[in-house]
Amino acid sequence: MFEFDNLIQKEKEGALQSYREEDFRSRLSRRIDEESKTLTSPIFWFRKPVMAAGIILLLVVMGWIAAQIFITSPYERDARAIEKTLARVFDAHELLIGQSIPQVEPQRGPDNIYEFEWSLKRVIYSIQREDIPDSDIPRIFSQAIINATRIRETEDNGPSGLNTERENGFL
Amino acid sequence: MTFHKKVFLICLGFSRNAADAQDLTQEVYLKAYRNIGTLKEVKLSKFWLFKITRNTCLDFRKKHRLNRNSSIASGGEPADLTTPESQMIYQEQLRELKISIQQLPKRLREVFVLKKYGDLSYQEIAETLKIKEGTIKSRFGRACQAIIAQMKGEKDEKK
Repeated sequence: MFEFDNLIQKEKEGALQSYREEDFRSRLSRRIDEESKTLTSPIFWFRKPVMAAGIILLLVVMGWIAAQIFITSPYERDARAIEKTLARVFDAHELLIGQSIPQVEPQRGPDNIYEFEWSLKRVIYSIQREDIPDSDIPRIFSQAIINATRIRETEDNGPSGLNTERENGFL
Repeated sequence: MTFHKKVFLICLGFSRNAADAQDLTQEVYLKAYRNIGTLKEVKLSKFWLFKITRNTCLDFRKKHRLNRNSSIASGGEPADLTTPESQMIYQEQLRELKISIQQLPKRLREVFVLKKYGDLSYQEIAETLKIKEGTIKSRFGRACQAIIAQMKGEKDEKK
């Protein structure tokens, strides 16, 4: 114990001899001055924390604007898909007219709602329930319109006509 | 003894030489300046400063591990070392002691340095480290035994 006690004592004495109190004080106050200058600028807006907060705020606002521009919500996606689908549906409708297939006449069902409207609603329900990809939606809508047309024809031809509802299994 | 000299001596215990200890002391005071807001009671400022000293020194040690080739010059030789031979022996013994201290487990080393280099009482160390006084005493005893054993082992190896 004594051996290292003595050694530590000598080390401390030697170190204290080289320790310059004045140097320590002047160096410390210089460093504190430098530090306080960087922390507090006379102009409020140039102070580091203020600038950092400003930059973060700016980035958040820019991010929010970018999100509004580039990221579409699921509803917007659905709206676009339906818009696209309806455009194709009307194209198909025009095609049917062009091929002299009789146009679907609005027909009232038991609840006083048009059958055609019902068939479209049923398609929309199945799309929502089955999570069908966007690319399949136009085809399903077209099929619904064709089916509606055929039902109309069948009704005109009597009860022995084609039952497309059962055959296609969509509705 | 002024406060910063005490801090300097604690830093000396944790570091390799007086130059490192001076840099560490500066660092301690800068940290204290930056974190003055965390000081809850002025009467506890002494322990708060020792705690900063201990943390700064332990961080420093992580970055600068001591090895056998490290410079251990204390910065000023003790007055009684008049011959080159005695100075060489002193340097060699000091190197062994420093290595022994550095090889102590952290919880023993901090107690040993605060006691031997900082001349803190058991009660002051307990207050600084937030540990019971009894535990401090036992750790200090174990640290001394480990250093004696280590230095004895070094001597035997040389023989």
